[in-house]
Amino acid sequence: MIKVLLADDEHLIREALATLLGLEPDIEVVTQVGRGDQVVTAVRAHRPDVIVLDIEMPGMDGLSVAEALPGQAIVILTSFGRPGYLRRALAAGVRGFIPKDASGSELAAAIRKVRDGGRYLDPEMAASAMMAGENPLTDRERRALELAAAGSPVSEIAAAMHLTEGTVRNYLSSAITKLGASNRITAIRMARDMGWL
Amino acid sequence: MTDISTDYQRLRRATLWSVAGGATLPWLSLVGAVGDPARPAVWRLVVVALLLVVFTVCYVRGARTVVQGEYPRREVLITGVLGLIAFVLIREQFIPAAGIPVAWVALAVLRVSKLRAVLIGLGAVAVCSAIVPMGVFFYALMGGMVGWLSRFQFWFWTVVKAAHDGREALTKLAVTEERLRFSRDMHDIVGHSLSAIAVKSELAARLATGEAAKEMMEVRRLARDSLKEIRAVVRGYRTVDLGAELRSVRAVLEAAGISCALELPQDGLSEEVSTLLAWLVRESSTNVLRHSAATACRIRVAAGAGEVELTVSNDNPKPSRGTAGTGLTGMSERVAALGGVLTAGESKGEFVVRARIPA
Repeated sequence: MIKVLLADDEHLIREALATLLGLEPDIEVVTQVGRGDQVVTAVRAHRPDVIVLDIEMPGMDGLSVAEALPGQAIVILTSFGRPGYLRRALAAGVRGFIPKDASGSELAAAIRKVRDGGRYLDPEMAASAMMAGENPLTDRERRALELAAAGSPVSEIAAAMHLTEGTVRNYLSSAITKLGASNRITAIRMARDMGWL
Repeated sequence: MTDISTDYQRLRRATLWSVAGGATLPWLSLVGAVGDPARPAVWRLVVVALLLVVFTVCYVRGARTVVQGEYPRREVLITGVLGLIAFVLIREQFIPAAGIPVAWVALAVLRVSKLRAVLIGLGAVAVCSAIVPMGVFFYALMGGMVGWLSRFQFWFWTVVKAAHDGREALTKLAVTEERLRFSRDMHDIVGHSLSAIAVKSELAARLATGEAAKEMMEVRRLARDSLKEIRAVVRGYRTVDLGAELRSVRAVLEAAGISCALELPQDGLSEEVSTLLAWLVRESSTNVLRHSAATACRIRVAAGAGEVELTVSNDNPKPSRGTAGTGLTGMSERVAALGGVLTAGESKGEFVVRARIPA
């Protein structure tokens, strides 16, 4: 028996999925939660083999939950293939990525595959989630951030871009603000993750 | 909005007429020459009149070109030569004759740099003064004044035009952004309900028996098809930056522990080709993630002699299974739609997908 934890804030879908999975002979839904921040506790209590996670949940989003549970077999179940999602999911060790409207047997197949250490990616969902987001950075901001990512100090970036150091600092700080990052390092990482650098 | 557009059109027409209006000056020169007691020989006046007909036609065309946004090189050249001949023919009436070079200067100094305009004016004054030395001050004064006025009025037009174009670009951008936001919202809101319908109807189908189960499976299929269509619509509204798309794919592959080398051409490809390439790369990378135990991947886009070649290759391919084919079939079809060819297969321990598309 494969023990499954189901986390989704929409109880209509969650209940239906639980019932569908229950019809599979080798799968047992041991517990269901409706909030992201309840998943970790539920995992400790029930020790599921596979977690099925929605991305958009109150308390904590599914990707953060996956990041908090390294080594756990996880299937991400979502209706959106938003830019950047797949990269974050894969980086967190998630091996299953399927749309919410997948059939019960597809979900069961994904659970079995992920439990056995394989990958199960829905092609359409994966392709959508692989898309680059709309780049909010201007050419100058991107260039400054790129040089900063290569390890150049502000003085070198200024020389390379034929600008004053003050202007370079302005570009870097507007890039950091636009990306919603707290500092230059996180800004660089975020821009890289989204394919903007 | 309509008011501003109407005013803009009116100003455009006014500018065109006032630039083209310069063509009347040479006719005044002719009238002045005819009215002069010491009028030139009749054949000269006839030739000048004929020259001015062609001059006027070219001048009006030049005015139109200038207002449309380009420098009327050919028209300036033709009117320059014709004007010079006409000027020489009536040079005895040197005061009225000035109308011809002055009209030419008024057109020739538009849409050039300030320095160029000054050089054009000085050149015209120098040529005319060489023909009629005693007219030098008059020509310099008239040429300078009319040239400056002509440029000033035209500068006013370009400022208004720039403001108008800027507004138009902003409006377009706002429309695009709104579309994008709307399609996302639609996807988010309708997507939730449709997902729920798909799952619930499947459950109903599994719990029911006979005809009812069949009907519910039909409902499920409808819900899934609608979701697919909505996703396609949302994707369709995006503009594609191939570099960003490919870097995003690389980020995904590397997150899955597959090292990825990327080679991109410098020059831009057409929107259509970029969109197709981005899609092909996403599809083939999904296949790499799904079907292989790859540790390294190479994505290369090379643009050359009228075609673009995309190569996606990865190591450690697993023997292909039935499902691998469907993705490749779809890819082949879309490549063929743009007149290209797609090949895929194993060679030297690598799985290689190659697409050639006419650019």
